[in-house]
Amino acid sequence: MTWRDDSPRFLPPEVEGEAASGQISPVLVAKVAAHIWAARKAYLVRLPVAEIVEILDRSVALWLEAGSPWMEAASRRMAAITPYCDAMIRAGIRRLLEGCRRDALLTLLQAELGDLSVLDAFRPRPASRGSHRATGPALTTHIFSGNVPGLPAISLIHGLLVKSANLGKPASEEPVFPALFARSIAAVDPKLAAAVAILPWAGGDTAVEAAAFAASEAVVAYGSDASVESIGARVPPDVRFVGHGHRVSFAVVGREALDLGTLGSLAERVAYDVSLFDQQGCVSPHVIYVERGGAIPPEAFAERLAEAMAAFERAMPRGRLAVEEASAIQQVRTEAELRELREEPIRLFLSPGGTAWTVIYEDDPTFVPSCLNRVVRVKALADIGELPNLVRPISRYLQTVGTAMSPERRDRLADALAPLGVCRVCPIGEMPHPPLFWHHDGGFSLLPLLTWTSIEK
Amino acid sequence: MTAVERIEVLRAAIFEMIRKGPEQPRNDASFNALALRLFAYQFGANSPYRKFCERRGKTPAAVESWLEVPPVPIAAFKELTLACGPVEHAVACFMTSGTTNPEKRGKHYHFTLEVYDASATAFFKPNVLPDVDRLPLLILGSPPDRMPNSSLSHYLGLMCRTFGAPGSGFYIGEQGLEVDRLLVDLRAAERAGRPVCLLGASFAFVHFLDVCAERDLRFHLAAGSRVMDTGGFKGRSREVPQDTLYSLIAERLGVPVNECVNMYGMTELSMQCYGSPLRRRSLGRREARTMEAPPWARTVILDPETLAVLLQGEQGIICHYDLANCSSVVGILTEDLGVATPEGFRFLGRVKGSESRGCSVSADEILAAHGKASV
Repeated sequence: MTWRDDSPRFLPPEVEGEAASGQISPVLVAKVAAHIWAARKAYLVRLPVAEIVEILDRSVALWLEAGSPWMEAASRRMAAITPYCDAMIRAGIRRLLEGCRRDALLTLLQAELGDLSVLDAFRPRPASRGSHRATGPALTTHIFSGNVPGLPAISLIHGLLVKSANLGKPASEEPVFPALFARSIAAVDPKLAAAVAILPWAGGDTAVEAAAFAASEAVVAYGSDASVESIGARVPPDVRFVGHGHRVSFAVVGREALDLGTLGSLAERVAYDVSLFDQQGCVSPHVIYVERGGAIPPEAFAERLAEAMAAFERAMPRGRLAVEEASAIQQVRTEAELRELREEPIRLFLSPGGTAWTVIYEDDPTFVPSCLNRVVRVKALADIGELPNLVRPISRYLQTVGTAMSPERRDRLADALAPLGVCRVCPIGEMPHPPLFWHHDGGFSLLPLLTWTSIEK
Repeated sequence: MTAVERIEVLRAAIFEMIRKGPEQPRNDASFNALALRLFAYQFGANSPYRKFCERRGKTPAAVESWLEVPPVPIAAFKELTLACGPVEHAVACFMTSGTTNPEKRGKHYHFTLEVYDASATAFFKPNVLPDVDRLPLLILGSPPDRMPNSSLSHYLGLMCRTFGAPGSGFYIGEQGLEVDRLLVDLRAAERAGRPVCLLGASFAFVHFLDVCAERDLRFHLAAGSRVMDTGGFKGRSREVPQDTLYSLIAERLGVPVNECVNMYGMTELSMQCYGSPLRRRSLGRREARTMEAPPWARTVILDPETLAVLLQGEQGIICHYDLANCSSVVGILTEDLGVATPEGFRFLGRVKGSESRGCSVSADEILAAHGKASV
């Protein structure tokens, strides 16, 4: 059973021995790239996209069946080396992969391409008399981040849907999932998986990365602004580059959504959005804006949220923190406590005995980014109309806005936030789970990888 | 419960402890007794601190050990007036540099400087001048009249008055570091074979050594010469690891590495800690580069998650209990990272900001990207 292999590598058998025996060198990377490039040419590029969808669907299904050994292996090993607990890893991977089944893959293809068979052949071009087809990169290098369990699957799926060979570098803090996911594809179709390689070189190894980028037609990178910028600067000009750096999200509760009957469930959904992935996801909210004038005052909402945060902590404990992270929470708490002692309109709700969760209620609606790891501010808002001005200072980072309000007010708010760079407005409780077809950081997922050829008649 | 005493009585008790000297046996019982007396006084005389303690259920009636006295995070000195008396009566207000946010500087009020001065001089002597009574002190720092709110300038002025031989002086003026004057005076001391003590902020030494390197200047200062540096670099010069700084000093000034003393002080404290090969040699201690506090203070390392005291060898946040802080607060929680050792503690640097592990972004990262203290 291949899933018993604990290696963070997934490589063509011809180079596996060489990779196991020594350091990862530019020469090795070039060899790996040549093998997966050839495997793509021999098989993947001829495979109709509809068949790729079926193979990926069956691979994903291996993870989701009851007692899946893939899920078991991933959660066991990731719980040992990442800060996250087993329950959070399983929940995260499950929700992520449930969103990668056949229907979701077809929806993504249709949403971005219209006619998905443009990936297979020339097809009539709508609103013209000509035809066109789309070609993916011969080889795509992916630099993964380790913050959201299972996230590398999405990037690999994008690459495979556009028939690209894929070379992935796992994050040093989470080297488990990418190779396991590649093996699960091999378990369904080894010839397709032969166009995928996972190689854990040291991030920022410029010689190795130069070899990888030189062999690529596209590079996709996830991570901090600094690492994405550093990678982007080293990608040759003729290679496409897609970078996903830092982003900030927040949630808004309209006054009409504040009613006693549903308060508990609303607070639970907010606690879920904040707590899953310990706010390490770009989709994780930093601030919860609560409008005044509803049946529940914002401060009372904060108190109820604190209860929900405590309940979530019991179900899925916050991950282990580094000294800097725990210390940052202590400093945020201190600052808030001192302001409370000065009788400013601020209230603290703290997990007892440690830094597991922190809810800070403030009258002041100024957006304050979190130090992360389940530290959230609830801020009172006189009216939702104030929001655009409040978040304008951080518009460069804005991403997801979770909402609980009437559809009419939500749409008006989305209209006002769109020009500021918000790329996703979703219900509270769904923030950590964007659908596959979302406009990630405001763009498309497949289109940036494609080259189009048209025939004029 | 400890009865609340008058500050004059408490000050007399601290003076007595300081008078017993830096090498008195570290008696935990007498330290504990005086710490609790001071806590009772400060709890009664300092209302923001009282609220801070009450919230934690730590009142003089409930606290039996100095370790239970709630330490105040240094950020509090920016937000609250932590003084046991009306600030109009203060004789000095030492302020933090406000490197991160000039509008928010921590303030430490002193109603007398006698305790501070007694504490500072009593521990300076065995760490910097264990073998001589006076030396010419060449100070790479500002004189106190130029920087009346700087605790470091006050400290340097105090040492200059108390331990400075003729030829002592300050070398930072209106125009910054007076390099040429310092070069002339150092060359004169070198020629005369007269040992000197150079004191100042670490970044000032880096500036000076950079100039020496640019002009390719070297000194062979007389035996018995020594250096005491303090503080970090705070963006005021390039960052230089402590060992590298001392090797440069040895190379350019001819003062051996084991004659270089590192002082750790803070605006919020009235005592200083030293990593001093001079004192270690005089006491026959083994550990290199260990920081030690005077007998009227204790340093502990706290778990950042629970604020519980950590064992030796575990990294955490440095926390000081300083009995010389009689009119502010005894317990100070720093933003410094450290580790306890058998003979003291090691300072590992400021706690760096929290960083995200992926595409989320922490407040510190946004601040760093915007290069300012508030978004």
